[in-house]
This record gives sequence, structure tokens and C-alpha cells, in this order.
Amino acid sequence: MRATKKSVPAKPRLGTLIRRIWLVFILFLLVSGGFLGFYLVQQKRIIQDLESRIEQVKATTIPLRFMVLSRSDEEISARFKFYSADGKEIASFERAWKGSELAIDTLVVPIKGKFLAFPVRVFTDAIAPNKGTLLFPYYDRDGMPAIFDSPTLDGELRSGLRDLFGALKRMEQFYGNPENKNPGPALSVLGTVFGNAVHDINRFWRFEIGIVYDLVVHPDGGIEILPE
Amino acid sequence: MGTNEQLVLDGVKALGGLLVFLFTSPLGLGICGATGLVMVSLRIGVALRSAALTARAAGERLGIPGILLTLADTLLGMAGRLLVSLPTLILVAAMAMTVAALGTTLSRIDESAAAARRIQELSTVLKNLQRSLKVADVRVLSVDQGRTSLSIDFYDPSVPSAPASHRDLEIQGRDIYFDAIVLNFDYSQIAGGQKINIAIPYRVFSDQVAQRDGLPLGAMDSQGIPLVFHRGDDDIYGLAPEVYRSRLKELVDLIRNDEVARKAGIVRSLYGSAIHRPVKAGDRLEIRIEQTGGLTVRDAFPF
Repeated sequence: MRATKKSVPAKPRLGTLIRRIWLVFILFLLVSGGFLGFYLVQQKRIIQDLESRIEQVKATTIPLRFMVLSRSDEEISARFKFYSADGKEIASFERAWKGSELAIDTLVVPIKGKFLAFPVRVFTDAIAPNKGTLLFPYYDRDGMPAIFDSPTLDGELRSGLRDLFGALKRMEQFYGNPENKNPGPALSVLGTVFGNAVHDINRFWRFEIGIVYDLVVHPDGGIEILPE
Repeated sequence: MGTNEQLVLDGVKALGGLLVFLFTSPLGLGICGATGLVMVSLRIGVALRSAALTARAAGERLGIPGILLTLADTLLGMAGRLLVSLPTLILVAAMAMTVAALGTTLSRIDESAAAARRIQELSTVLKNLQRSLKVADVRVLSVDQGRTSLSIDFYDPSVPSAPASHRDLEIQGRDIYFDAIVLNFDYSQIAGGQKINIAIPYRVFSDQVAQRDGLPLGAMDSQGIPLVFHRGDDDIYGLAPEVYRSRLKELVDLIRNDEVARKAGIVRSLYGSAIHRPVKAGDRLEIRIEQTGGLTVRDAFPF
């Protein structure tokens, strides 16, 4: 009887080893490529979000435009136009005032992280603000401030805007009367509302005659004047 | 990384990209298919021509059976050679797949690094645009008989840690207007952090007091340089004093010449801005300049 040769496990050949290493390498490449692809998609989403937020920060509204018609050392005249939220012209007027620097005053109301701007009066360097021309009547439509009007505005928002506008009008009447000595309920309702009267400055820069200027409202409550 | 290593990496990425394109995209597959078809057609063409010449030499004509036979012989021959070369083809395919996977991974690493840089840039832009810098601290000391008494600290927005100057004043009226010259730089200058918008308070008036009768704050010296920017040599950090002062002059020139500044694409707007609020005794307000443009006011300590 022939003796049975004990079988010895053969050492893996070099070729097999190389194939195994190659398979692991290719698997690693495929997995890391897949992971990187997924990570890249997330990064692109972050980039899109950041770009959108930057656009929101720079987004502005223009409730009013004006143009100086004539100017002398003692008198200045201008035309004003008001616009709704979707850019439609809703009112206009022309007037002359004593003075040489024109100021457009706006009330800014912070609400839930946003800022609503209500142009409130026009005055000059020679006219005290409480003697200036009140602007509310030009865009008051049955208690609704028409500068915020748009077809997409729902009933709840309209009602809220009406209430807010009403409170601002009462505040203006209250503070517009120097006989009222004590702060009243209007201020406590409106809390952090503030005003910003933007104007030209004779010494440095004046509104040019015949140029249309935009009253620009920034999302963070800043008011700016820019030529159209 | 050395030029040679970069060249190798770029080569691998390019080759990987090409392989992925050729074997995964419809156009690439079409190119491969068309190339294969052309090669097979050429081979068949050569074989048919050779068979036709052989038949002519034998004084015969290569008829339809001859054409079909030559065609079948050529195609079967090609199939046979393909089968024999199969192990080599599999090896080549495996190497191509490795190069494609490596190239794709390297490209994605580059794209991811570029995306990370873009996220960093955009985050910085957003941070710069959302900045709000203090211009003045206002304390309302009293409101009596319609007359308001105030204490005001003015700040240089680029040095927010300490007030640059102080004024106490009294004025008729309760809705107090803090008037400033505002200089808003172009968005690109703000977003890139090269500039910050500037506000120079220069006058206080009220709802009852016209601007020209308001109280000057003595904000500028005889040369029109805002006092808030006056610094002793020891207080100027990061710039040589003469550079700082020449930059101030540059600022004053910008303020004086709006047209030049706009044409230079630096200044977006220059105007006066009188921020105001009805006040009562004890109020503490902060006037701030927003880097998107314009002034705002907020309660310093809301209560």
C-alpha cells in the first residue's frame, strides 16, 4: 500500500497576493469616491444656502422715489412718488419748502427680525420736523398702508399692517403735539420703533436737480439714498 | 507639491476622466461603438479585397457565396482572437477601472477642497455684510418741561473698545435727532473686508428744533477731518502715523467729492442721516452703522 502524502497547504502565490491587494485598493477607491461624492453634494447645498442668505441680506425695497425740481438758498421744491410692494406707483405730489437741505423721514419698525419702513414726513434744514409735511395720507388707503400692498398679501397680514399703521399714526399725532408732556400708550405699544431722516448736506453733497433718487430700505433696518 | 508630482496627478485625473466619459456617458459609449464598428468594417474590407484579388488571380469572380464565406471567416477569426486575448483584456479592463477610480477620487478631492474654500469665502462675506458697528452711546439724563438732557459717547467704528469723544448737551424737544454723515462703500468692498461703512455724527436737533438751529457736535476740525478719527501717534496701531493721516485725508476727499468716489467704484452712497427716537429719562440707546448700509438705533439695555 502506498503511503498517503500529507497535504501541505500551499503558500499563496505572489500573483494571488497582488490580486487581493488590488481588489482591496479598488474597493477603497470606490468607497472613498462614493463618500466624497456624497460630501460634495452636502458642500454644494451649503454653498447654495450661503449664496441665498447673502442675496437676502442685500435685498432691498423702495417705497418712495423723489426728484428735486428747483433749489435756491431759501427754497427747495421736489416731486415725490410712492410705490406698492410690487413696484406699482400709488401716489405722487409736488411741493416747495423753505430751506436748502431736503430731509425725508422714515419710521422703522422691527418685527420678528424684520424691519418695516414707513416714510413719515418731509422737512428741511429750516423747518423743525414737527412742522414738516406728513406723508402718511399719501399712501393711506382706508387705514391700510398701500406701500406694502401686493396681490400675495393675505388677510391676516393686511389686518396686522392696518393695526400697526394705526398705532404709528396715533404716535405721530401724540408726539407731533408739543403740549403732550408725558409718554403715552402709543410708545409702549411700538416699543423699539425709531426714525431715520435721510438728507443732503450743503457742505458736502446735495441732491442734484432733475435726478431721481430712491429711498432704499435694507433688510436690517438701514435707510439709504441712491440715485436711480 | 513638486511640478512632476502635480503633472502625474493631473495626468491620472485627466485619464480617469476620459475613461469615465468613454464608458459611462452616452456620447462616450457611442464613440467607442463607432470606433469598434469602423475597425471591424476596415478588417472586413481588407479581407474582402484580399479574397477578390485572389479570385481574380485564379481567373474567377468572387460571387455572393465567396463574399459571405470571407465575411464569416473574418468575423469568426476576430471572435477567436478575442477569446484568446480575454485574460489580457480583463487585465487591461481592471487597470483601466483602477485608473478611472483613482482619477475620479482625486478629482473629487480637488472639488471638495475648492468647495471648502468657497464656503469659507462666502461665510466671510456674509459675516462682513451682517456686521453692525457702534457709532454712539446715548444716555438720556432727564426730560423736563419738554427739554431733554443727554450724555453722548462717540465711537470710531474701527476702534469699538473705547469712546473717541464725549458730549453732554440739552435741547428742546423729546424726539431727538442724531445727525451724521454716512458713507456706504460698495458691497464688494464691504464683503471682502477691505472697508467698513462710516458714520460721522455732527449735529443734534429735535422734533421742535430745525436742523440749522441744532447743536453742532464739533465733529470736525478746521480741515474737515472728523475728530473721532484723531489719534495720537501712540494710539495708531498697524499703520504708520503718516499713512494713517493720509488715509484720513483720502476719506475727507471722498466725502467732499462724491462724483469722484462713485466713479472710482468705491463709494456706493454719501448722505446725511438723522436717526431719532422719542426718549424718556433713563433711556440708553446705541446708534449703529449697518454694513449693508445706513444707521439704526437700538436699546443698549432692553428692559
